[in-house]
Amino acid sequence: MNGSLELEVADLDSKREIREVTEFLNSFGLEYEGDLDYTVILRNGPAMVATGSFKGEVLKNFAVNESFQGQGLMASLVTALTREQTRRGIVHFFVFTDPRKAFMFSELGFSEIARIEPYVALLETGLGSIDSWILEAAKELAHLPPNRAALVMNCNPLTKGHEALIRRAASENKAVIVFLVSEDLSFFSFKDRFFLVKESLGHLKNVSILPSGKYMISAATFPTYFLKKDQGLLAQTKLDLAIFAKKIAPALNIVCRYVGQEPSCEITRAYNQAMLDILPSQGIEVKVMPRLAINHQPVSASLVREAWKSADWETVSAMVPPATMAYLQGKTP
Amino acid sequence: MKSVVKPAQAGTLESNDIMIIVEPGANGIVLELESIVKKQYGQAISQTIIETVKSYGLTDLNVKAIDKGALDYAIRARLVTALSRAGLGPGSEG
Repeated sequence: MNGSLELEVADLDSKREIREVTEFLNSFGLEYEGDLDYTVILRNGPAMVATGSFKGEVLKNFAVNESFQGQGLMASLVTALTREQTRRGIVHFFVFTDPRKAFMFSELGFSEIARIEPYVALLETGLGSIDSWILEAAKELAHLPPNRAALVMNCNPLTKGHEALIRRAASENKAVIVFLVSEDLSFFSFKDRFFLVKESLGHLKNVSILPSGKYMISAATFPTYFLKKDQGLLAQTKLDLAIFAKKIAPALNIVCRYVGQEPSCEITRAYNQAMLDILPSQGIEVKVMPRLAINHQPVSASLVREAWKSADWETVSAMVPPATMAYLQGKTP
Repeated sequence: MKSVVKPAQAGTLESNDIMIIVEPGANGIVLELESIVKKQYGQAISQTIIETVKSYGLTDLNVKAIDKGALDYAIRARLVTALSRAGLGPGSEG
């Protein structure tokens, strides 16, 4: 790297430093994405010439001053960031970037997972890859016949609505895969959500329940789902579904995806719409199921969480299967 | 038997260098190599890495190497640093 440049770790508690990074990114027409774990800055004297950050496994907020481009600054940033990630026990790295900038990361050994022109490309490097994840999943699913149906669900927590949807898929298909969202950013932990789905549906012989991993509705493929921001929502839903349609579904023999109708949540509704826009053209049928209603009330996990928090056991017990009920009774909100 | 206890990284992504990341493994020595000269030298680089790992008496290790044209001795030096940072002896900078 250019010998006169200094690498500095930003103080993320300093409003002044954050403002400086924000203004630097803005000068390239880039937004500052907050909620970061670590940010580095390259300076030429007092002037910032490049910056990059990470949050968990995801590298983001990169910018390099044009007059310093082509001098290996991106390599310095990625080296410093991944070194710190590794120090924190993270060895698999993702970057979510402008498709026109993707080549800069390819040159640093990143492999492209998918892109949606002209909005976004997702790349990865380090230990772990989508191909190795698919191989592992294929092994787990080896006992299921082909032409499988799939559901990607959060089940936060499992309701009678989720249960009805999975049973419906199981009655209409020889094999069903339930990918349960792995990311531990929901109210109930992955471990507990997984346990409840297993308890209520584990006995169905033609249904396999797997963690969704890093390539479906994860912090890498779909950060908005967790951030609850609408910026870039369309691009992200499309990216997530492109990975599903082009990589996951063909390799795991998935021909159909089931989804529950979404009356309220804007992000989920956008995602469902994107499914209808993208998957059929890739040969994957989408079956949208009407939401289960109990006493004229549509069943929803967010309603269950609210009722549970206000100790409205009548509503909770009407909407959840016995295993979820027992679990919620044994837990304090 | 010797083994590494935690993930570690050494080297850089700069030209003529190599970045190496290691983590404890369970399925033998598993190497994933990216290199700008993979076609010509991929085999030789892999051999250098695997022989060095074996010389430590390691039987299980996951290794990711991103090569930007490093020479043989640099590859070995970076790997040795990564292994020491991962718990195989005293750490060093580099």
